[in-house]
Amino acid sequence: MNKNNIDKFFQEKFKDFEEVPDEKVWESIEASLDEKRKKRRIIPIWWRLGGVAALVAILFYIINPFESTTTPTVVGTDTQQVEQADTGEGEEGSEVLKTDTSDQEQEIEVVETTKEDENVLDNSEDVSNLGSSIARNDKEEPHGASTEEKANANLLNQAVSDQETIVSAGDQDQNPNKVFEDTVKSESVLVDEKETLPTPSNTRELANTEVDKSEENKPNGIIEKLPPENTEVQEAVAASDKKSIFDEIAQEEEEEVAENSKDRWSVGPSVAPVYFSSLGEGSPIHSNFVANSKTGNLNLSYGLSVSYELTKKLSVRSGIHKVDYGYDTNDVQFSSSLAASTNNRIDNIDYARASKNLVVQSSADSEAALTDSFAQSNEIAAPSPSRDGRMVQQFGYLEVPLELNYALVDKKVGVNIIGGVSSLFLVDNTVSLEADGGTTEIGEANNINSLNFSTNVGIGINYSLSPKMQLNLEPMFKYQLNTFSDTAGSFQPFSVGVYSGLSFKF
Amino acid sequence: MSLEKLIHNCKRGDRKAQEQLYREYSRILFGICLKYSRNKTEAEDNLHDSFMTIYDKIGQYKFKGSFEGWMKRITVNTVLQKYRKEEYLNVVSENVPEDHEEESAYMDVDLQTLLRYIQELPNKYRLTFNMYVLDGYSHKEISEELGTSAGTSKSNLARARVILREKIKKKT
Repeated sequence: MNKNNIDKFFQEKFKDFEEVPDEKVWESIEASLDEKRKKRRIIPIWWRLGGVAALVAILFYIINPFESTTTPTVVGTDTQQVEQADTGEGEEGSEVLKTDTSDQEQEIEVVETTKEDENVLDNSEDVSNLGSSIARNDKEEPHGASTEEKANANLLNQAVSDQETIVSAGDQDQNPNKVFEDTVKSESVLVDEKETLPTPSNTRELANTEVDKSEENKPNGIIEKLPPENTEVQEAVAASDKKSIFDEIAQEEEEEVAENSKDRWSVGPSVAPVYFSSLGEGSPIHSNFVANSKTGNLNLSYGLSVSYELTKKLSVRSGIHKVDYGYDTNDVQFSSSLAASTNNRIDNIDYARASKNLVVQSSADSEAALTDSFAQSNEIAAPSPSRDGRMVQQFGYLEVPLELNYALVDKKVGVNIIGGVSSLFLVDNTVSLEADGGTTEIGEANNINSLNFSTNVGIGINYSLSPKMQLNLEPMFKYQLNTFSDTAGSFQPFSVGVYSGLSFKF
Repeated sequence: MSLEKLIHNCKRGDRKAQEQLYREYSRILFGICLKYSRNKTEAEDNLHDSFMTIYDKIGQYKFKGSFEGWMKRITVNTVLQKYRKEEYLNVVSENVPEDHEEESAYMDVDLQTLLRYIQELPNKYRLTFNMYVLDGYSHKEISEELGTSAGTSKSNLARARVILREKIKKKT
């Protein structure tokens, strides 16, 4: 035997050598393919959808920062102290028109002067006598009042002579109406001096309306002291207790200019019909159903949304929602068989007790497979007739979103873009069969992850019913990242919902 | 489904086609894996890796030459790659052992035992023996694949033969 004999021997023995590998090899290949697909597809989509929306929102914010930062400064001063109303008012005024600013400032001075005329005549006299001492008195007030203080000092210094007449007028003539007119006159003089040039009538109008409103808002106790035949203007002038008038004006201004910016938190209920479906062909239940057509189901989502305004345009939102998803796998045949061994069961379903004998198959595969299984089990009895129907998979989550909301249009009707992620906590999970109007529960799927994530994008349209209340309508697209731990084919679930709700600011 | 259609669908990543491809060719490729690997578990790992490579690279198959041959080459290469990483195949032992053969009647040794003998060979001997004897690679090709010299390849083959012969002799 030469040395090639052993070669020949082996060659002959191993000619056409084949062996059937264990089924677990294919399963592991399948799992690897799924993983690969996830890696390849899901990450880009997540970036594309959720990420892009968030990026766009951030970009808008960066490009356009000035508009959105000025208001919050105002907000801070507005809300803290009554005395600061002056400061806030001054700054806010700058947002409106310049002439307006001077008007409003002037108006406040006027009112204040008249008030001093009425309530603290002595003080006014002091003013005429010792202008500087008044200034000192003013300085003893809380620091927040600096603007007012200056304005006061200015006014007082410049109007010392005028004030004497006002004082006397108020003193002698007990008719506040006249006082007011006088004040307006003196004020117009002041305005001329300051070269800010609003016409006297303008100023007066402004003063009127402003004062009227404040009066409406909060009638003051001092009114009682006044003669009953007072006109509105009289009342207002009389009612101008120092703190309250600024309070009112500040409030009013908030309402007029930036009422909503003060309220950073908002909360409210929302409800949505959600449509659940899948992007790819595949089945989370079994590879047998990959080719079957799937129909998404319409379900309901409801919950509570909370949002916090970071800037005037950008807000961050969260909340908690209960959401149900479901879809149908069509063209399914099922039958009951006592011989339904574990082989015939679907691995991804934990069968309910009553359903252990159910055999479910895709209509396309069922014929061959059934024959197969009967051959295996040597079942002689005729198979029980199979029925056509559809398999319904239903699952419910508690959804906790975290989203950024950027306002594109911030008017009475606002338009926003929304992007973010949701954490979904599994609470319901069933698989059932439906045929001829009847429903049988098979069990629950065991390949649904108890914690799932989705990336969300959407557009929000809101309508302000009042400064405190908003109506929202938000079509949202949510792409789910890891609903199933093991799917056959590319079943990539998403949901589309139109969320509507109210939100209340506080 | 024709082979061409099957390949085409696999290229698209269609899971059913991928499964069908596996069902049709896994037996033959698993045979290769068993011969080239040290045991069944490793063979299964290698089969898994081979199919992953096949699915990955099926787009590169241009319908030139037999598809089965293409898949076999991928399988062999996948296995080689694995053991090449693991083993210093370059260790040279130039002294070719005496390769004379005694008359022996080992014809009754069964296939599974022979397979086990092959699997028990050290990596470099096993791979060389498989490639040269069972899969018809030349020493030049083997040396290229394994990154050794043709001389080393010859020596490895001779050592493999000696070991196998010994084992068979002991058995019979």
